[in-house]
Amino acid sequence: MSNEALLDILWILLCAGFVFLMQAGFLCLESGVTRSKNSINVAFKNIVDFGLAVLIYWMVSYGLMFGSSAAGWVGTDGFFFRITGEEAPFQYSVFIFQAMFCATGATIISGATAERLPFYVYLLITGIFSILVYPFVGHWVWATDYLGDASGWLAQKGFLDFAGSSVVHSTGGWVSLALILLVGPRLGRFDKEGKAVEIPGSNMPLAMLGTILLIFGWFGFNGGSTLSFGAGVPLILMNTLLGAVGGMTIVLAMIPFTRKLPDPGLVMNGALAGLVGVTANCNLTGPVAAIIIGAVGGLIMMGTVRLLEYLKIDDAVGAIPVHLTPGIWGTLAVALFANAEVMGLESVDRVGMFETQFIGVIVIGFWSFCLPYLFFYLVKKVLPLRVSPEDETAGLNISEHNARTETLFLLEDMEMHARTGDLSKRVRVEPFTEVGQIARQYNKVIDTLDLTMSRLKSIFQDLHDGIITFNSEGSVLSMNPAAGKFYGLEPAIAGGLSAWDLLVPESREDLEVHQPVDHEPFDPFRAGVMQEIHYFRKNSRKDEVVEFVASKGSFNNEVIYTGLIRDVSETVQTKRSKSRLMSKLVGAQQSQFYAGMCKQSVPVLRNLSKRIYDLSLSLPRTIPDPRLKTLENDAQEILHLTDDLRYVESQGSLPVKAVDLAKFLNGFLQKLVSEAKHPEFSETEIKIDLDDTSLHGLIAPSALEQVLEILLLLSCRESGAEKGVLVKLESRYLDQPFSGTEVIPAGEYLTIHLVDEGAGIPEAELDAFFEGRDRKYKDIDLAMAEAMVRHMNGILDVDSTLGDGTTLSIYLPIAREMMDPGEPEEATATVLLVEDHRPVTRLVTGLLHKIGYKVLTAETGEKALAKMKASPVDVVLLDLILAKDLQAREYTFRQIHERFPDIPILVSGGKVDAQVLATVIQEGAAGFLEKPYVPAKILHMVKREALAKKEV
Amino acid sequence: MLWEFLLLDSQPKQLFMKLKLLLLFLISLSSLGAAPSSIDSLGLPEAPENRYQLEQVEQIDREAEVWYSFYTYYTSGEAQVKHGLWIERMRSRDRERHASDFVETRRIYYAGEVSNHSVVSVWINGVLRQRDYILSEDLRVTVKYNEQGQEMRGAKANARGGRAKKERIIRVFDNVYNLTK
Repeated sequence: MSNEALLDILWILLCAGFVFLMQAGFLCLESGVTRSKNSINVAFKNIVDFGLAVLIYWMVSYGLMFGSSAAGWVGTDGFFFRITGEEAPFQYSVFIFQAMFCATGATIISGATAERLPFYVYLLITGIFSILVYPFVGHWVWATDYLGDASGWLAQKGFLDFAGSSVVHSTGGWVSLALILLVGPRLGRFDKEGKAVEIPGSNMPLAMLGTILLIFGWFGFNGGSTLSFGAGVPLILMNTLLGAVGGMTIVLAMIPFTRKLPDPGLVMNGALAGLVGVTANCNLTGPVAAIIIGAVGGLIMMGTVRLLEYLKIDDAVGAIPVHLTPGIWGTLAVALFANAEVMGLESVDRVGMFETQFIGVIVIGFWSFCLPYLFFYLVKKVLPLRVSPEDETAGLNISEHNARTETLFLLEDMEMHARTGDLSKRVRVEPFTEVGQIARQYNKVIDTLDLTMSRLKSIFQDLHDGIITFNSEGSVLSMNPAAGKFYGLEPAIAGGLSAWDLLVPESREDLEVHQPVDHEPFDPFRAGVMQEIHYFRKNSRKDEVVEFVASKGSFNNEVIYTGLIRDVSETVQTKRSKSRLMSKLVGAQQSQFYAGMCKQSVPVLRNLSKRIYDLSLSLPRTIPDPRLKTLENDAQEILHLTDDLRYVESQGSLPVKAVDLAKFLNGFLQKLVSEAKHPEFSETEIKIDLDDTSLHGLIAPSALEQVLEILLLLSCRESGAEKGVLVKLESRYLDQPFSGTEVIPAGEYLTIHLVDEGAGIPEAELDAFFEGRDRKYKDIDLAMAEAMVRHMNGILDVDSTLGDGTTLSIYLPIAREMMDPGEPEEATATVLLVEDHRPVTRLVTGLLHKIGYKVLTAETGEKALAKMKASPVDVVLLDLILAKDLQAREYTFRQIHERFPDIPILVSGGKVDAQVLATVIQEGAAGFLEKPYVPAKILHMVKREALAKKEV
Repeated sequence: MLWEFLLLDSQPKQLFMKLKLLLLFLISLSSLGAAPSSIDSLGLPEAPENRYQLEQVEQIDREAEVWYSFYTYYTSGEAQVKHGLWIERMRSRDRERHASDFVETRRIYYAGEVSNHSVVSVWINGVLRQRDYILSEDLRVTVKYNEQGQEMRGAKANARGGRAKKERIIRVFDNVYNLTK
């Protein structure tokens, strides 16, 4: 074999390697400009199409393309290509080179149709391209007979396509177009108005590397197409280089006119379009023509991009703008720019050449577009051509290859959070990876979110006000326990109810809506306006009133309403009670007259009873006479009574002392049963429920005994022997007046409740319940009981529900100063109490002293900050509503939290605005204590935060 | 038929199975295949084997129509056996221009057997204007040159691959027939 022949073989094999490198270029480019969720699929297709195309090419397509021609249309021999003899090295080299071309054409389609095709469909496409499209077109243009004369029908007409602008690039583009039209655009590529939405690539630097590899490979693509190493090669490489430069620079030059920032993808495609443009003609033109052809190719590429967007055709990587239209241009440019001298002609018949080139473009386009379109149109009838929307959304890496990465794990875990809302779980952390770092940070965010949500949930659950959420159609989405309790529903099953049916029911058996006539009709969607809903609860025969305020928000483009329901029945009752109080005051003036008479008669009565008592003692006891004993007891009782009356007269109240009420009640009830003054006391079961409090009450024991006797007699009669009476003792703090039948001022009380299960008392009778004797039991003097309680600085109240029974309540003052043990000598923690209501301050201070905590107090936020600077504090208990602080409710909280972020702050308040509360909790409040305080809850939460602080 | 076989009622897995079967079938047919047209099959000229004692004869007669002839031979007994290059140059009618205007025919003898291939060159005004590389009666590669001796290829001659194939045929002939422009 001659040196020239060996050099040819070397050159062809070298160029085949260059063209093979274009596969890597396409792989990088297509993976880079598509989304990472499809990157494996795209890259995988680039490898697989190479293998499949080469196999098919060896088996069938090389013979179809370069076999002995049948009338210039198709080759008829050379299948399963093999050869022996001297020519074998050259022929094998040519085969390798041509096979790379086939693979290149096939891989163009993978980019255009990326991110939506099932893998098997892509294999079919590769097969169809490699068997039906590429070898036929290749035969028409490139096949030669034994002597090197053109045997393809197009080439015989003079059609020229040196390295495949049409044969490789346009055919790939046409097949891509056919497929894209059949499968449609990717999800989300065009919005509802049909406007193109840019889908960003996952790795532009990788795409740029791919472009560089493609340009490099193109030297082999064009340079090797001589199939020999001759003097024409340098010019071909020169023109190839200039074509790429022309395409790239024209796109850069167009940037000012597009009024956009440089688009790396467009510039890369400009270079590739220029290369496609010069591919058909680089052996026949000069450098200037190559630059022009490349530049026009770039412009055509830009125009094609716009056209595809206008037609809503989604080419994932721009394969059609790069390969199809510049390929057509390059083929026609042969006629426009071919150099006669280079061609070895006297002159060039450009018109004739253009006609030939144009016919070639049309025929190749028709064959390459229609045949695959028809084939896959039929395939579509029996097999899906694209993946399901779910798979497309998840990404083909997962759906087509089950490719699992740490990114996928993270996404799955995050999806689990989004789907279930269960924030107790954490995402998996893959150490020493970037995704692992993201996962770790995400877990920290979830920690904070979980804490905040727990606090918010706590508020949501514990809030006395009801909260419901509903959508714009009025379907209830959620409700808190308070709302559920008010409406008698389980919050868990409230979802789906109509807000109308819930709030203003028309057919509930237990609840009726009685809106006043002058009220506007209720509308739950009237946001920001307070509306009242008046109910009548049939079971208890009570009027109830709620205030309803809706706020409008949105989540995920869905309008969500949040309704705050506040039970204001007590407020309304307070107003009513005030009017009753006024009537009582009028009655009291009348009573003064009787009091004056009483004042005069008391000394007389006392002297008389003393004399009777003394007389009874002086009588001889030889004759036991029960009447004498009775006389003695009565006289003593009257004596005590008159003493008390005198004390009241002189002091304005009964003589009181601090008494452990629990012990007192136990003793009293034992005595009551043993003495059995009334049969009811022994017939009726009297149950005792004494709150675990060690507080002492300030009472006049003898007077309280008489009061309890009177009231208990009433309760026993009401309940009857079968049902029993409950005597209950509890401590209670009211931060604002409580309006029962009586108005009870804010303060701390020890409360004795006598609960019967009798028939109840009609509401109409409750107003004047303690005036005079009982309506039903005339021997029970309720006025006396009420007067005695009043003279102990207590309050007597009654609450009754028809059918359920009556509760008589005695509110007694607490002997506070005796109960506060004072500041402990060795405090285990220090609590700063920011509170401007002194009774509350006293209560909380006493409670905290009892558990060994030191208490600092401040009435304003400013003072609180000063105290915190002066001495260490473990927990802050902050009343959100400080009368002396004029700033926003959350102002003091923020001041303290910003300066002392490590100190837990428990916020408290009565009717605190839910928005304010949500804000401070989100900003880091440790918890919320709702007023009126429950002592046990204060202690629990303060202890919890103090312990947590110490652990930290 | 193939269409029905591949696609009717085919799920993707079944389709792959059918494709595999088809592939096996095609591979089994590979034994029936053949290489595509190769210039090897044309019977390209080969250089005659070297022999000792080759003599050469060169005759120049300007008056004769065939004014130049050349051949090499070896003797076998009494007889001359032609072996190697054989050249004849036929002048035009103008005797004076015999050295610049003539048609040259070259053949190869292989131990007395003349080749079926030959090369015919036409020189005009001392410039090679046409050369026919004749492989057989119907197969020939013709290369034309202009007055300056530059090759005139024609548009179709620029087709991809064809030129290379021609050049390789020519290169073989040129080597065997010891040709230069």
